[in-house]
Amino acid sequence: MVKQALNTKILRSLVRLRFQTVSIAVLVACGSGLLIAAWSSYDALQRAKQHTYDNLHFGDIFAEVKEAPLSLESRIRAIPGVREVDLRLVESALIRLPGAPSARFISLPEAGSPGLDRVHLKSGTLPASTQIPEILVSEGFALARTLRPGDTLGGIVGGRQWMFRISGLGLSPDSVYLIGPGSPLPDNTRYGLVWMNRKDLERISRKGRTFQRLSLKVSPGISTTGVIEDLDRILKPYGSSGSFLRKDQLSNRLVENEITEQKTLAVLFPGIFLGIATFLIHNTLARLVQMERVQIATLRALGYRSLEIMVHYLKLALSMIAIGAVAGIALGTGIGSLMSRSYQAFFRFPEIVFRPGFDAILLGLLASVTAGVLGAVSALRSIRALTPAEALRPPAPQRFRTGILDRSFIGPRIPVRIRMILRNSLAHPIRLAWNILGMACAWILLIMSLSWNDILENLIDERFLRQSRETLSMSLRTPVKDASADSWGQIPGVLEHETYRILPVRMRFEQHLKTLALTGAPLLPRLELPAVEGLALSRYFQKVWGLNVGDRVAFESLEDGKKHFSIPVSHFIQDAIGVSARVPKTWLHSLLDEEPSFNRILLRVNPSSVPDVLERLEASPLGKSIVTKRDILVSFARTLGTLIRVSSLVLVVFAIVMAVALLLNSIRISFAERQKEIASLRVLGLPFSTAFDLLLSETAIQWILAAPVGCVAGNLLTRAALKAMHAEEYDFTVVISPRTYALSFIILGACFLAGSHWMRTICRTTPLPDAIKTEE
Amino acid sequence: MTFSGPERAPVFKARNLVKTYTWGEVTVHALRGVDLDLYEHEMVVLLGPSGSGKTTLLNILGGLDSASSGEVFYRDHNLVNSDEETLTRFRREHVGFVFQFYNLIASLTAVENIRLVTEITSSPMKPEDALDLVGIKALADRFPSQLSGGEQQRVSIARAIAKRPDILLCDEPTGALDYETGRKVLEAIQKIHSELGTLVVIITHNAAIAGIADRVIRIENGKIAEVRIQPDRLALDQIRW
Repeated sequence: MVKQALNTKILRSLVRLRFQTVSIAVLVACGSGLLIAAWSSYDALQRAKQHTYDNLHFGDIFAEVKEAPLSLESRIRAIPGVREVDLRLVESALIRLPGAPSARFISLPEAGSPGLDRVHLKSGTLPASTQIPEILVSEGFALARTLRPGDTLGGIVGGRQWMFRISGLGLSPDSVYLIGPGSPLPDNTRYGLVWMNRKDLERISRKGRTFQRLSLKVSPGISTTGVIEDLDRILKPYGSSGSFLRKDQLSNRLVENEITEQKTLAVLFPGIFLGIATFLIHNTLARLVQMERVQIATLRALGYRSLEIMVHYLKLALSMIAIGAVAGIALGTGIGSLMSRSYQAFFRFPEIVFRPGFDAILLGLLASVTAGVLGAVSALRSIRALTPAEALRPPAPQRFRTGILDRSFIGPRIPVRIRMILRNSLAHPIRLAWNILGMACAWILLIMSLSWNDILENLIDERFLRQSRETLSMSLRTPVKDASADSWGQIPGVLEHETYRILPVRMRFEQHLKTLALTGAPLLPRLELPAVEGLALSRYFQKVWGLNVGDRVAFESLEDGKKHFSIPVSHFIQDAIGVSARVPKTWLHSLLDEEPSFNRILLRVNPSSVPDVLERLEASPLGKSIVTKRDILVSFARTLGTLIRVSSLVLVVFAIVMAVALLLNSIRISFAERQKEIASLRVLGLPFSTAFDLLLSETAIQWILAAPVGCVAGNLLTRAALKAMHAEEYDFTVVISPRTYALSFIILGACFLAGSHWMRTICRTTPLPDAIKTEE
Repeated sequence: MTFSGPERAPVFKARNLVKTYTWGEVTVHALRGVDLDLYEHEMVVLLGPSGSGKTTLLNILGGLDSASSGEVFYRDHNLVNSDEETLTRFRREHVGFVFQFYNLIASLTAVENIRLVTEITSSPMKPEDALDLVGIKALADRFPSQLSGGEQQRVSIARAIAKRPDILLCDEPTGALDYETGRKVLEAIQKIHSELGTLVVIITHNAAIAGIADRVIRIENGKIAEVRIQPDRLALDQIRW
């Protein structure tokens, strides 16, 4: 039976309850919009990754060797399970551009062999063998350095100066997230990839028919462990640092990390937002049911079943939600497309195609409806519990009791009006708690979103300014004796220098295995903290590997000589970005049985001398790469910083909109409950403003009490959110600055004042006789 | 004590009906053992002061409330033991309510308020005909806020009778109205009673209105104090208040 009259009532109720309709729709639009945006962006990244890996034939197993002959190919191909083999000549180089960026030259597969980890040509043409060698430059580097096809570029390769012509710009699946040696972050201005024809690279590097990098594709269902063992056996004599799986390939690992992070974001924040929307829906519907109890009783008297009335109110709630959900789809599409664009600076995929997927929209709708239904449940249950005869009676006066305050010495001295406020607030602790919680949600939203900026600033301050005080760092091709460090210290303008010994290692504990750089640091470092007295590892290993202080960790040196040693963990350190392992430098020398030497030097330089010092360092044949702090900060701001800022801006905007809707709604509900009392006080002869302010103070008390609740809950939820997001590459410290609290206070304070003013206008303009009779 | 009426089968038969409820923190003994029979085609007025238990009795007869103890039979069905679903069906199929404050749905027009009922009953009259019966067909598309009190009450009556109920229960139908308007409302109720033969029970504390009833039952302090049969009931123009 179609109940047209009830459906008409829904439409009219939507208009009559327009404020509630709008506030619920706004909350749902924000929650579902964020969900759709984040989920679609995650999906876009996932698709871009899959598409890139499939189309460009990304390898399954990788290895790097010092130098091995191409003739090994047949032996490698003969390993059971190996389907395809790709061997590349690799040479590192310094590019003749300001700041001396470094580059990795990689040979392109020879004609007739399509190879693995293929290069996707973004613009221009593939390199041809011409008099001036032609190269393909990685797109990120080219864009950061405004290089275009046709430009010429100078570089030092194999110790000699060369000129190249850029034939095109390219991308490869193994360099989607490209991090240069010695840098904690991707920096397209400081590091790039260069591809050129093998013949040309053989000639200029003078490395002949050799390879330094290998990637393999294995047949499906083959045990990769066996392949890795066979491969390592073959490559061992050629200075292999050990073969590894795709999951350990640096770019892929970072891409996977980021995608996982986006997935967490896609669930976590919309989850919180929709949870708060659920709360508001509950409050609004509970209020509505209370307000319409006589109508509900009348419908029951007319013969409607409780279930039919419940369905009617559920339809009303779902109509409000539907408006929000539709707006959420539009909002989510717009924001998602913006977020996807911000990934472009971070991930170098051939393209990231954003489209709001059917599943994301379905998820958004499902989440909205679930939030609506959950929010409506208890309000709807109260319809069932409502007995018509009772609802048709005038509402019974609320219950009050004389409390401790009344019986106390000061009780009789409290003015009646103040007593009224206190009793109203204290006699209904559940209602009070509910109202406070509603307002606290607004605080939570603001603190959670605004604190991202604090976390980011703290990260910069802690990681780049307080923990590392150097102006620049230089990595060397091979370790040099400590005695020679003073010659760097004597370069004019250098104020301080400090040497480090970096050893590429494979670290193992129980079933866990990881390739990383073991840093040998001075016992009392001045330029790069923290100081270490034994083996210090990132907290990541404590959390994920389950390591404890005292556990012995096995290391295998990946430098020549293949030393094996094990050291007990002495403590754990927090690395905001990436993971590290540090030991005192002297330990490392004795473990390696070598003379004191270093292969990384940090310099603190007089700011005015930086260009001169850089010029001196760039001319050094020992240099592998030079990274300045400024470059790192700029790169951070451009990449990870942008990503966090865009995400946090989206969150802040959504949070402010939601917080405003939430607080205004709370104030409205609070006043709706009191409008009749204000009118009664006026009838008794109190001036309007006195009567209104009396009730305003009650709402103000709730608002004040909500502040500490919201601050504490916001703080805890931010911590929980970061914990949930914790991935290998990031270990952020939760910092919530006074500025965030102050800003939240200002936004919510302004909102409270605006809401009060609005309520004042409503109360003032409602005729007294109507206000006396009003149910709302 | 049972007050017997005309020699017909009773529509309602109530025995030792007791109702207590709490209102705020006070326990109210609304009915203290009521025995009562109501018959087809009767017009009954329940008289009594405020708080005497009239509304509670009417609510129990209409299936809006349940008794604390005792029995109420609607024909063969004991309403006291009925579940919520049975009571809802009973209200939907047999009972029309008219309230003192009309209880119209403010967001629906007059005709839409009546459709609320006609859409859920099996052989209702047309909403327009129901409005015609109470003399306000021309106001069909007005919202309650655009109608006077008397007009609203007549919409409420039209809504109650549109389902062709067996029983029409009116709780102070003229309580909020002036004499002229109240008279129009009673006219409408009388017309329905005579044309449809519905059992009509009217609650009022206005003794003058009692003149139009076949039987007047006076309730005091939750008990039936007096039952007066009026073989020669008065016409509407014979009463004033």
